[in-house]
Amino acid sequence: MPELIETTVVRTPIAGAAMLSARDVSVAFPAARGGWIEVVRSATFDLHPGEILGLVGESGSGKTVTSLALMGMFRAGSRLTGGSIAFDGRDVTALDEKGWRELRGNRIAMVMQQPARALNPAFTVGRQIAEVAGRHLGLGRKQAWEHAVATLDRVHIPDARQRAKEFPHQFSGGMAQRVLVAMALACEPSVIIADEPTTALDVTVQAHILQLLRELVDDTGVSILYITHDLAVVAQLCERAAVMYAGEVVEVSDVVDLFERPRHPYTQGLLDSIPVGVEKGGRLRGVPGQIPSPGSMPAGCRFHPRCAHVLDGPCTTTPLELVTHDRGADRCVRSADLTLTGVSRGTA
Amino acid sequence: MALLEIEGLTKTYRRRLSSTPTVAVEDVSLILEAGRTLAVVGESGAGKSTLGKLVARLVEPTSGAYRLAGIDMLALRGRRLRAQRRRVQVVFQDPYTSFDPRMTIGASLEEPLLIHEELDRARRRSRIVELARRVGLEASHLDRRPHQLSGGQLQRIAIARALSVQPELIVFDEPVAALDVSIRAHVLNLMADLQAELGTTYLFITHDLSTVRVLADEILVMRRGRAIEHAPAAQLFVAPSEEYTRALLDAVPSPVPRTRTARREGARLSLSPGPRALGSSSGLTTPASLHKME
Repeated sequence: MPELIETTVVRTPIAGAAMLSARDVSVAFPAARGGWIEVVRSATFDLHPGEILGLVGESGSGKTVTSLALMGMFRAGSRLTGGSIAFDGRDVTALDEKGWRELRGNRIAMVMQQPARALNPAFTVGRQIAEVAGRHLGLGRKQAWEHAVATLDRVHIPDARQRAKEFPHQFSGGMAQRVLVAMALACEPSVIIADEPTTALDVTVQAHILQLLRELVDDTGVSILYITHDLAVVAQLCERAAVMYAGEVVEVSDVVDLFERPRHPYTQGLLDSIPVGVEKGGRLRGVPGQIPSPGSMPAGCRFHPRCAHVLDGPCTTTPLELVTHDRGADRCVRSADLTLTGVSRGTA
Repeated sequence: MALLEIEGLTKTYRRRLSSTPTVAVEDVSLILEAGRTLAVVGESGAGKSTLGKLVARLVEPTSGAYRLAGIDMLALRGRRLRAQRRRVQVVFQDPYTSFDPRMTIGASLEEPLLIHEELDRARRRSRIVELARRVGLEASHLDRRPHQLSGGQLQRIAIARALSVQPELIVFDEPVAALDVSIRAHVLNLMADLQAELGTTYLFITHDLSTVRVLADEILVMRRGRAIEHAPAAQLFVAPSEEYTRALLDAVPSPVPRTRTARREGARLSLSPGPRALGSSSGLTTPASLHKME
């Protein structure tokens, strides 16, 4: 098992505009045979007020682990091994559990993938939301209940007063996801972290949840970190996106730029993998090869074994850092001299 | 020639505490020519998977008729049914739950041959190696166990296993839904290559319309157990005749980014009503129409 590499903490001055900032965030998990396995390496991006930032990646890319770290949550003995996290201009990296608890719920809320699992089946949904409001806003029992009803109404649950008295199993998947969004909104947070909130839903129901999130951002100015593997959702919902691959952020960019002029070959590979407009008899393009597993990461650029543009030496020896440019940032030594094709606006 | 002929196929389940049975598939009829791909699409609960299981004879229909290459599949019982099972194979969504975790990949691939073919050990081995190669894996993969392969590799093996007994029809139930985006294309391409080479007929079940276009010759849209539209793929994508199909197509997010203004306006105006909303109960459209529903 490889030893944990202690990354030097580069405390880049945090831009005043960001609501939530990750700077070189690294997270490691204890390995079965001792030592540590680094699962997220040097993740850097900003979430600005009132924007939806897509955090895109395939399974094992580290997107969920990164998002949990941004809320001070470390599962299965994992820990932050480098970097810093800032919330609303304040460095929260060294916050203790009590401090994090205050932040979570009050200022940062979360929406999970499977609403049926995130709700307690034994209590009415109204009571579960009221509990959040009671604890964080200091409301009395009756006020908290009224607040819960108002929040359910806000996420367009019809007949909210009546539905508040119902139990989770009485809600369809889409409606239960609205309940979770309501619970996240209960304390009027500044940031919502949504981890694949529509992956378990039908595509038709997904469209309505996406519409709701967009509406909430436009009406309240909340910022959303939207974690997904689905680039089409990013295209429809997000202002900007950060693409993760094998535990690293490989590209951060405005969504239009990302889709029309990707700078990292992996981003282009993901765009190529979208099977839209290819008819019977046509060929789909994907990304050759396999996703590497943590603990056996390729040397140099982690994408190089699957990359069509690999250069022996620059791409294959030393780990690459995220380099900022005028439109965003990327982790590719060849990004300046490569012209990668994206999705053109005429195709769909 | 028609390979698959289904007439008025119905499957109902009786609920324990209720007198009204649940109708999973209701009065579905279709004819599918050999060598073609029929995609069955619809939302969860539409009856797609039940239709697939009926075709694979994994569940008994309540009523209806089903012929495969002229043979009445529903009249078969016992030994004669078992002999015919070879002709329809299934590939499921999650390859990790469709392989025995304790068996090597080679042993899993060998099992259908032991049941359906009379081959000696050496011939079986060479068939298995050939099958693995055909789906892009090496002989060395055969000694591994499921957890040692990636999802994409294991799904290739699932396809190889389905092919091993030379079926006429393969039912693919969400074959790429559990795979990573960058891997999906390879599996879909492989499915297309194998069909071009072997002429196998496909029944491709999915909720994701974006993955069927590259494979489907025709599309069957299901809703609440019923087949509501059956049309050539090229026609259905361009000019669906049912409003529900249109709504289903519209709900698929486009991979072309919208500008900030368009995104904002799209959120307010252009989303069409959800398919469920068209008929009744759940699903939402615009805030204004909300109160009429659910």
